[in-house]
Amino acid sequence: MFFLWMFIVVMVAGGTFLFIEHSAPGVTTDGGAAASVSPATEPNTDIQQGNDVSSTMTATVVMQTFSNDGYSFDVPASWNIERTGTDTIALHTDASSTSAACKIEVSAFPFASGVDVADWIGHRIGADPSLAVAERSSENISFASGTGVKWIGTIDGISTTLVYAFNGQHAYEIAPSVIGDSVSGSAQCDDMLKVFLSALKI
Amino acid sequence: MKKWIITIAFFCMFPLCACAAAIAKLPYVKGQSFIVTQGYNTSPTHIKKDAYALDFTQNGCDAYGKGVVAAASGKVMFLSQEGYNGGYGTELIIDHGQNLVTRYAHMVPDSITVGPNDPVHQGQTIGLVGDTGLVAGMACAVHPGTHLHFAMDAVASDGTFTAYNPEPISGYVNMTAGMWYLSDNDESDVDLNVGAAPLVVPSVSSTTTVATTTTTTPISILPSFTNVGVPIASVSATSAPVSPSDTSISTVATSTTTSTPDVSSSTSDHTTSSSALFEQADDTAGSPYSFYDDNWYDLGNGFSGTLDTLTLEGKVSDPDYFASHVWLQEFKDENYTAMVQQFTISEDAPFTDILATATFSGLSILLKPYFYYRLATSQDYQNRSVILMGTASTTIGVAMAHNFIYGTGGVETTSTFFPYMVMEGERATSTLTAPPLSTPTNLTETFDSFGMQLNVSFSTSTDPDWPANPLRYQMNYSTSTTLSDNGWTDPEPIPLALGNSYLIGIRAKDDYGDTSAVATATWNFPAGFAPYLLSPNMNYASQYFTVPATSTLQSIQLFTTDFETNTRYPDDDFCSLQLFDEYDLSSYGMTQSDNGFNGFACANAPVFSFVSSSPVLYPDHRYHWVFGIQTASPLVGAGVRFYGTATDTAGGAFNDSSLANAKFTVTGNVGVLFSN
Repeated sequence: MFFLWMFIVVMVAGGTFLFIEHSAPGVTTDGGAAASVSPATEPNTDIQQGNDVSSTMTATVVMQTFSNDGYSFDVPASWNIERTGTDTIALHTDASSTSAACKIEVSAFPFASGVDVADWIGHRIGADPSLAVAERSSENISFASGTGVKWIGTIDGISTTLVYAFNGQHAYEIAPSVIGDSVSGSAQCDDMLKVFLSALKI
Repeated sequence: MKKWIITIAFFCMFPLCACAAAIAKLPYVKGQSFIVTQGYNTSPTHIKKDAYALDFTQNGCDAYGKGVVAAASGKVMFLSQEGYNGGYGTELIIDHGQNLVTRYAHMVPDSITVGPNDPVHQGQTIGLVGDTGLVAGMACAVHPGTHLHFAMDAVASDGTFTAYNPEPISGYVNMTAGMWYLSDNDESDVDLNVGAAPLVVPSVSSTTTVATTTTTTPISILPSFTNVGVPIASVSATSAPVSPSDTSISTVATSTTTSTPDVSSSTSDHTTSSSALFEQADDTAGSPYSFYDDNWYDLGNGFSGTLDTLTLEGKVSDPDYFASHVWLQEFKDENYTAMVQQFTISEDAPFTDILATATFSGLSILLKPYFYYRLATSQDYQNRSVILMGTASTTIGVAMAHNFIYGTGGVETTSTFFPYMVMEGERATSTLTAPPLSTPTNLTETFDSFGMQLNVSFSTSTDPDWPANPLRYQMNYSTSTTLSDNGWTDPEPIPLALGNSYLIGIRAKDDYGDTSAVATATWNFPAGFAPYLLSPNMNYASQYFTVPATSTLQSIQLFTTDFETNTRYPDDDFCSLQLFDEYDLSSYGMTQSDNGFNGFACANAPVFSFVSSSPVLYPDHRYHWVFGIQTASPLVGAGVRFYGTATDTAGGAFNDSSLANAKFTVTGNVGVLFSN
């Protein structure tokens, strides 16, 4: 199923995707005509009131826009957006697929201006007193709008990538992980993170 | 109030680490059944401090949003309502005192109902089952990976967390992936006023209540110990979330018929040239690489020699994540279920996403022809895999002579990856000389009125075919005049039924599987001692006593017979013994309270030594010993014997026969105490 789902996207300005090839069910790709497009997945039942989700289409790719308190992004409609809590969401590439999939969790924390970002990140990652945290790298990165920090290291010996974004009153933790039954989807997960970060507006 | 009394009584008996473990209940609501999808010691997430972690879920999305309840009373050590938290997601850690904590992870964000340092009582709802953090499984499309991660840890004084076996949990032991478990965790079982406090050793005055409450069942506190998990029945394999370690692993392919040397002959020269597949879980068509959650290569047997250097060619599925582990595991059986030992080839093999060669030298691993070997690999982080191929060189013999050969189709292929190897096994001599064993020697009877078993000892010999190895011995016994053919096991104490005669046989076995002639002996054991039945549950016995003179207690010896039988579970069984001084008949002082009586010290006939403290006992005091024991099976025959010296009278302090040979038995499951 993974290969049926495979497609190549090229980012263009403003987070728009240019569709090149897409064989996902429910999407008609007849020469770019938009008239017969239906959602690639069932509506997200977790996205409920006031979540500001809408489907739009650029070229032949169905997109959905999600906005929450302080951030927004555009991602393909085939991605499932799970509202897991008041301030938390989880994105899944294709939760109905039996092949590898990836999840990106976004959590929001209060953040006071003036707090040292590096200290805050270190405290957040190591909040659980049982964790053994070792940093490999930490670099500043840019999103579609805004900047953040990409942290790579090990937690309890497991290599981990975390991204943090700040907007003055909130700090956002962006945590990618592979959730599929197979482990062959790591590249897919990395690509998903890149797509998400490129579309993220803080 | 009665429940309060029982709770206190129980705590009095087991105030140490085993206490919290003993009362742990399943972390979900009473009446609910959850399936374990990932059990103990499964890489990569249930290792190290999570080695005793359990993942619970239900069919599809059924588990999502179900209540998570405290496995035992305590207070909140740490909570995080949201965030990744090292993969635990929304998580809560409860401190139960006695340096024990429990962890509840992957819960629904913002669902934790308690705050920092809040007291928590057993059965209290503390959150909701969710899918946050590092989870796996696609059974629930809306909330992928929904499950509850539950683990118990011991926390050292330096803050280090180490795995702690939480069993029995609601009476269940040996909890296993694929089994359903019914919870009995109901907060109504616990008086909230007491349950809200962390586990503490209560005042000893309540111990008096223990003796007077023996007819009240402790089951509400101590669930039946005979529970077993229920096999999957109505749940299809794809309906439950899949744990990270058990996915996509199909049955291990069998070796080709040419791969297994003839192990049945005792006279063949064992010079074989055989080939064996790297047995690997089946691949999923279309996968660009043959990566698996659990990566292993069954090498078969027939090796002889010392593996000195191993050259492997490999790659990992994700170059961003490092630390590729490589182990060589030695098994007794061709089904690779009875691992003898594991050799570490590398804990950080330098493989990348580009196929490359790595040489591991200085291994000095003895390979024996009649053992089976498996190369096991993994990469940290969600079981990313390592593909291995390679060669090996030896310092002795011809181990892996023809070594590993690339599989048909190569590494990067969409077809099933089955590299294979050709190996040779060669023994040093062509015939087996009968081991120098004519008759069992030094048969030692350790049987007594308490321990009804026979220990047999004998001198070991060296395998003439393989001088570096001692011969293995096997024992068999029967109450008839013949020995069964399939009853040979490694020597271990023989549980005896008194009044029987036993035919005991011993034989030697070398690494090639050849066995010697059988030496036999017949032993008779007297009748006249009736075995005492103990409850299969955790239970206890106690006795008051006085001493005739001021005395120094040196040791207390406990006798049981269960711990040396095949029902022994050293990690699960435990016993404890406490000695109280009722010096003014109104309150107690605990004469001995160290932690040396628990868990692993609970072997057969353990001696609780008082050497370090050598408590002095006085004739005008009354003393009270309380012995508690938990085991997976009924005990037969148990007793307590005191050793010590009197300081001012002849005849010893423990000349009271009821103390010198105190026996006890507990019948049923209700804690009725009979002292003999």
